Amino acid sequence: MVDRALTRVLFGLILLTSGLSASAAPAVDDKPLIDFMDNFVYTLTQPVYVWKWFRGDEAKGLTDKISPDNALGFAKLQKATAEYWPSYVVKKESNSGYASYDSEKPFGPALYAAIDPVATSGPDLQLSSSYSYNYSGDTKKTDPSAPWALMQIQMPVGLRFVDLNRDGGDSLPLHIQEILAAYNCPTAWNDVADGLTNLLSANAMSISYYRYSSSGQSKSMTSECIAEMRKILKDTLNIQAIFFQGDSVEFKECRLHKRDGSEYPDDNYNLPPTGGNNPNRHGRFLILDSTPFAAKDVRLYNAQTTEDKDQRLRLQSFFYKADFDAKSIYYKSYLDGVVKEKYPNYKLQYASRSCQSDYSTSPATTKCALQLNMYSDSNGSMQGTAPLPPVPTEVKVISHDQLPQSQRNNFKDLLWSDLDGQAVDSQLGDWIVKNLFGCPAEVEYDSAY
Amino acid sequence: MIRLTSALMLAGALLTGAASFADDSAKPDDQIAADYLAQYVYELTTPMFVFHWFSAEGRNSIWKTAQSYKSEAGYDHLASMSVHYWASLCSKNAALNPSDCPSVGTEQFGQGNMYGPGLYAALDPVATMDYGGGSNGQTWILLKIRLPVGFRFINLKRDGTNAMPLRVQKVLSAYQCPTHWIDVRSGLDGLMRANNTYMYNSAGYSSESDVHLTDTCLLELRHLLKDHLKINGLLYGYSATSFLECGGYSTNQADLSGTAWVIADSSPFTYDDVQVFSSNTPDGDEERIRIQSMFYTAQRAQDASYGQTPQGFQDRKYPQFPNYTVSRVSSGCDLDAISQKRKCGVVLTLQNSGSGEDVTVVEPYPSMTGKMSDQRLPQWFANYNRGQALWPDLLNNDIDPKLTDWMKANLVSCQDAAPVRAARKMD
Repeated sequence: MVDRALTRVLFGLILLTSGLSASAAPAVDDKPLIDFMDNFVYTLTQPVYVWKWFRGDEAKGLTDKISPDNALGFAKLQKATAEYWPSYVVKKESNSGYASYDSEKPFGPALYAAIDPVATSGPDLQLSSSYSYNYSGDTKKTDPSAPWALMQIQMPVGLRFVDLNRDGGDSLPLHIQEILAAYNCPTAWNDVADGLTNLLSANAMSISYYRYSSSGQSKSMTSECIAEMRKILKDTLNIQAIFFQGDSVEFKECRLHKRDGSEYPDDNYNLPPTGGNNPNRHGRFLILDSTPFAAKDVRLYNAQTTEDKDQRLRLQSFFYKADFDAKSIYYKSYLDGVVKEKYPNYKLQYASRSCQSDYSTSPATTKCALQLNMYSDSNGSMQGTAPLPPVPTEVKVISHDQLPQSQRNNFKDLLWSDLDGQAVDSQLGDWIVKNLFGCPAEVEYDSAY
Repeated sequence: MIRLTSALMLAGALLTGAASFADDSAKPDDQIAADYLAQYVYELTTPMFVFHWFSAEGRNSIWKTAQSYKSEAGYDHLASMSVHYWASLCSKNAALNPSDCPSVGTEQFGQGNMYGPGLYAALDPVATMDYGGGSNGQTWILLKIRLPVGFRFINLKRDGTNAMPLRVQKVLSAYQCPTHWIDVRSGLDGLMRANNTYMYNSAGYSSESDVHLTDTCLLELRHLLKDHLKINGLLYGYSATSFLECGGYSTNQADLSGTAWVIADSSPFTYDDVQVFSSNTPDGDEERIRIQSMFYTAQRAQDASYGQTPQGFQDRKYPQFPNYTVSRVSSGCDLDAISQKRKCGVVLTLQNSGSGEDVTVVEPYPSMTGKMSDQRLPQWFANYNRGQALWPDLLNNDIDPKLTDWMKANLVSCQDAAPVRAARKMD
């Protein structure tokens, strides 16, 4: 089978080099390519929830009171997803060659959704589970008083998706590279690393000017290549969503050991986790296709929404739980406070944990502290130390006066004022286990093959 | 297909605690795993040479006697070492084993091998010379092995960290393979460490995680690799000498450089494919000069890596650039902006005396010339072979003037184009 395919590839290459029109479809058997990519298509086996925030300009038209079942939500999902495949072409602009790469929409226009409601509620969150924070670079700020709207989407059983987080770094077999070469695909795709990401994010390739390979070789997207990718991804494999790398909150119910039964003894609350980061929880979904969805799958909320109190309580409770579970959110605030108090002229660049063990005791004892790397424009670099953060306190009551750290920089107040004084949803952990991507004990997707 | 998956899961559930399947009909279908993995099997399209060192201490006395470099002992050693690879993937319970396993239990073949027993070979004779024991005054033996056209292998450096597709994971889980070997992070590399003697003790327990490898998993891995994929060996990431003549590590789609081999099967080899050398080798002068010459050129590569610049290029003139003079000389590679090809060698930066504009020219690295002498031996040879060259009788011969051509034709790490292709499917 492979021999025959290779013969066809070579035959195709000969045809191409002998003057075949660049716009004609290459005479190459692409079945091995389809079969290969088919390995990496998954379907949801249970529904999971995702969220999309609208802030500032995006929230225009969403400032009046909204009922959660307002048809506007489903219409917005349909409109956003409808933009994806029409954009799946080589994009040239008259003056600058190719359209520029948009980091806000790394895979082109479609609906980008987070796998929890906290992760994308604002840019000023540190969701990493480690003690290593990098404060360099500009942080885009959200105006806390800017209007907001929140779309909650239930992704249905059967939704077909690819998981770049899981599979995107896979290398492409040689015979697949040869087929891609016959379709005039960018040579950068022949990189060993990230081969599958390159394949599955062809749209991103088409909107960037160049993607560089590790060897420095580059080639822009071609119409033959992107037509072939579109045919495979849309028409043959029917990809409806892409899961790709992004931040999410590490709720304790979703740690890897909850899912695969392994043990991570250090998983407590005043030590950084030594294991158990769940790869399924490090990403976002790009929804490309609205056909698997029904109107009831989409709920829309804003600050004026009064219905759905249980669900709104749950959404607000997510922020309190994120403070407690996702230690980094809490730690960032703690570190900012330490630097402000002890080193007021410096900005924190990086913090890392440093430990020393004393083996003269039995058992050996280990003491840890944080090492702070700071910078000031006038004084340059400096190092300092801080004690490990104290164990966070679990907040039990929703309150104007005690906004969660994860919410404080991006919202001026509670999401809904009528929740003030209500108990934080004590059942949220159970709900998370059943409804968040990457959290159920039984993996919530299967091979689509 | 959904029914198949369910059947696999059911089979896996039924197997809890079982050492093996009741009969062949109860075995989960492993064709999905075989088909997927087969895509990552390669075969050589050009013969390539690799090198294996070992110490003669504690071995048959034949290794301390003078014997021709064409001695059949070299091939015999390769055969006796490589056969251990598949033997180590047999069960200690002989009743469970296929007929091509050793008849008495599972043998143990030393410790410290990351990918299990087998014959380990480097891309050049310099990289692994310490395994010959010469530093300890032992009698060293060097095998020069020609990997034949059609040699089938998997490349863990290139493909080892791929995430196994979910449906392949399910097949392996149904065969009771530990999930941490086949999870997203270890992939094929995790599989290929199944019979390593480095992390796993003789009872099959990992020193790291106390995971036990069942006979069911062990025998299935053997079946996949030996019977389905029919591999003759594997390639994994390892240090190799960055010869300047080869332009440093080559980068190509097959990602063969910076690797070493495990040879698991002697059947593709003939006696002519294996040459054997020791300090007592009386013949094969041309071969011995070539091998010794590689040590001299390796020192030059090390000098360059420490910033020593190539000599004799500072005053070079280029008629096509009449107003330019050499402003910088270095070893390395440059990407040609027009052809988009990487050229490696001596990188010369030419600067226009008027405009200050720079032009880059890449010259081939000149072959090393001169006589072989103890004084020119690499610094790290001082503790090897009692500070002498491998073969003192060769001193005062010229360093092999054709070494560069030979390396470019015969060493994996010296190839501009990968000498491999996707393997033919064999079942």
